[in-house]
Amino acid sequence: MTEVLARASGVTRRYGDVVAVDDLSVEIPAGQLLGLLGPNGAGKSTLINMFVGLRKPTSGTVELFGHDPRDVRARRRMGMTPQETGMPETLQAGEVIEFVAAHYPNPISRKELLAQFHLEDVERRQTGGLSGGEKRRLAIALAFVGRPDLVFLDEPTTGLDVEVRRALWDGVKAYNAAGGTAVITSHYLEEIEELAQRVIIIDNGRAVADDSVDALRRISGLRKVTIRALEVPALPGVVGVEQTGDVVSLITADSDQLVRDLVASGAPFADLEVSSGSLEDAFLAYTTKAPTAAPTA
Amino acid sequence: MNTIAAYTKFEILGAIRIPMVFVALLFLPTVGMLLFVVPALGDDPVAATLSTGSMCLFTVLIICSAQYGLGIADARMKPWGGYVRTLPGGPLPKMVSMIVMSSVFVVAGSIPLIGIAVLGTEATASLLDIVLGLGALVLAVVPFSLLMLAIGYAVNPYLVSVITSIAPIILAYLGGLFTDPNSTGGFTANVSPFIPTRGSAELVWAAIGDYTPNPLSMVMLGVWTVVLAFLAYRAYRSDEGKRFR
Repeated sequence: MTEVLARASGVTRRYGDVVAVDDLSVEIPAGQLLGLLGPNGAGKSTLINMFVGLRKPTSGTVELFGHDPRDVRARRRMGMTPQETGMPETLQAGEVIEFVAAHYPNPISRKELLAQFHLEDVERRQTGGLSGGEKRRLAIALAFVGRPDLVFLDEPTTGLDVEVRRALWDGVKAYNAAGGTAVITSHYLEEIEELAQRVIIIDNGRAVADDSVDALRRISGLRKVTIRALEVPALPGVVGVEQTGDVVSLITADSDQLVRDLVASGAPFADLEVSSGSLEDAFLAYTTKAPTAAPTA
Repeated sequence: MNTIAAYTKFEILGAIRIPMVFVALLFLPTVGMLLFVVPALGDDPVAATLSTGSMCLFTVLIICSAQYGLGIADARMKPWGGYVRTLPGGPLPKMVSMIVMSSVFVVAGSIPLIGIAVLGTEATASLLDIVLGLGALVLAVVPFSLLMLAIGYAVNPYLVSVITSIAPIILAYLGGLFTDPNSTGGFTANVSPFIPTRGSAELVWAAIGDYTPNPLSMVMLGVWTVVLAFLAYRAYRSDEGKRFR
């Protein structure tokens, strides 16, 4: 039986008349990379804010390492990212790291942390003067200062270029391989698909799906039939077409029937491939609102 | 201890990188010294000494407004303030570091005013008097920091900057800091003893010169401190950062 690091039981949070989180129950077992997915305003940030003790649930209970999230004992084993817009502008990056490190009994050495997040060059620069990507990296680095057992990464790579994003993903994977647990929210389905082992889709404050990435792809029921063809005949049952050069992907609910129709049509094609739909298909199937498109960079 | 030192360093670094802050803090008390104390009371050694104490206390009011009122409102507005509350520190290091900072500010802020008094007036005080006076000024931080904490946590952050910029002037005026401490005019006799500023001022005056505090002012200072502590505590407990409705 895996240890449960954090647990929300029947949690509801209201802001006035608005219900941000509605009777939600989640367990975060040790060693898991959990992705939280949902449209803007679905309640992801409110859920995280309750786990880290910034907001109290209106009803229900939230536990962090068996304590109230406001308890210092719980917080010592937890890390989170500040929003980069709120860094104390007059302080140098190194000074901010030192300040955060002073809260923990056994923090990572500053040198090691700076190297890990490629921040050596900005150690002595004031945070107000850092670029967006540098601030973001510093913010993520701060979550790992205290050698946490559980980190909450809220939109960790928003606004980062692809190279830095990849480096960060590798960092999160290495942390997880060493036994670390992480909760990640993201607008980028690609990011969740890459990192998370389990995904919870939240919509209107409720968990509408909670499963492994693979299972969610299958559950969406959609299949992708990819062929190499110069011309594709109009076929019944196709809900979407993606075309790159002569590679055509047909999205359908019934791939078997589509393949039969394709063969029967007599159209020339090669390299037939059938794969399960993407997480994005699952996401669309579960929520009413469209997700932010993955950045093309 | 490590954490308290880190918070204090953090506060000091945040403050000294913007030197204009000190000019802003000391502007009004310096004007008060030059336009009121020096020309009107400069020739009277007793009044000049006590009024220099008044201007130092005025500085304390402004420091408390900026540091606690504005500082807390700012922290509530910025995501960084919320982030710091997720760190395993608790409220103690933050409080201790702010008190240390206040004391540093109070002493640093009094030096130029004392300098003006030495150069421009007949004011006299022994070194012991000055040290006692600085002690009374640091003590005065207690009620006014509590007042400003209550305002900083309870009031809409956008309004706090307005309140904190006028509150010191009103409190100083009502407490009789802009009049001769020994004058017994109707206003200072009837209203001032009920204002917390008066009690703090009388303690400062008693420390630096020949002045006997009014018992009524002392009682009211105690009452105010208890009331303000309660209000500040309540405001702190109900705060969850920025409010959304």
